[in-house]
Amino acid sequence: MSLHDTIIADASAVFCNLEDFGETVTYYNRDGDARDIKAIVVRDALEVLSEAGDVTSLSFAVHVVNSATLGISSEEIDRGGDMIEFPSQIGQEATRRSIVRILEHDEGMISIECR
Amino acid sequence: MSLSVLELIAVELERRLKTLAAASSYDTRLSEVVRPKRLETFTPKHLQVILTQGDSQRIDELSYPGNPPAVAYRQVFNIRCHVMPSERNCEAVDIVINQMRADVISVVCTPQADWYQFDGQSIDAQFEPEETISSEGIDGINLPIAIVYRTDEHDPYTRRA
Repeated sequence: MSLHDTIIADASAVFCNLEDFGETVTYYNRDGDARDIKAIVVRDALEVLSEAGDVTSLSFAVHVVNSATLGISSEEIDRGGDMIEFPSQIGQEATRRSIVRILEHDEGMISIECR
Repeated sequence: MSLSVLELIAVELERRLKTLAAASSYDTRLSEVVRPKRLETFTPKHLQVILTQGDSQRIDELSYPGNPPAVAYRQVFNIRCHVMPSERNCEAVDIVINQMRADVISVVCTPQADWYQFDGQSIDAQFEPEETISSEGIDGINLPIAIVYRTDEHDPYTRRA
C-alpha cells in the first residue's frame, strides 16, 4: 500500500469515523447518480446572502475523503449541479444541498461548502 | 384567508415567473421559483429564481384625499436569477444569464398591454437598475421591479384605482 493509499484509508477510518463525529451522507452527482459516503458536517449559522439583506442562506462545510469510492474525488466534483444530502439540523430530515465551493483540498481530504 | 393587495401582486408576480418553470415557448426552463422561508431556506440551483420583497415607500404625489383617503405605495420586488451551469459547460456564463434575464423580463411583462397592472391590483410598474450576483459560488443577476399600488388608507385589502 502506498503512502497515498494509507492517507486515504486513515482519512476514512479515523477522521470520518462514524463512532466519533462522522456521519453518513449521500452524494449526488449532476446526473443524479448517488452513493453513501462518510463525512463530517459543520453546520454554520444563517448567513445573509444578498447586499440588500433580503436573502439568507444556510452554510455547511462538509469534510470528506478525497476519493471516488470512499468520499468524493476532487477530479469528479462539479460545482454546477452536484449535491449532498444530509440533515440541515441534527435530528431533522435530510435534504439535498448544492455544492457551491471547494474550500480546500489535498491528497487525503476535501472540504466542500454546501448551501 | 383574505390576501392584501400587496400579497395579491406578489402572487401574480410569482405565477408569471412560474410560467417559465413549466413547458413554454420560452427557451429558459426554470428549475424552481422560491419565496424563501424564514429559516429553512433554499439551496442554490441552476436556473432558479428567488423572489423577495425589498423596500416599500409611501408616495404622497399619487395618494389622494377622500373618505377614506387613497394611499399609494411603491414596493420593490427582487427577482434574483441564479445560474449554476456545469463546470464542464464550455458556454460563457454571461450567455446563460442573458438568456434567463430576457425570458424573465418577457414573462413578467406578459400580457404586454396591461402587464403593469398585475391582474388589476397595481397602477404602475417598472424594472430598476440590475445588480450582478457573483458571490458564495452563485452567479446571476438581480432584476428589481418597483410596483406602485393604491389602497384605502385604513384597509390594505381594498384596492383603489
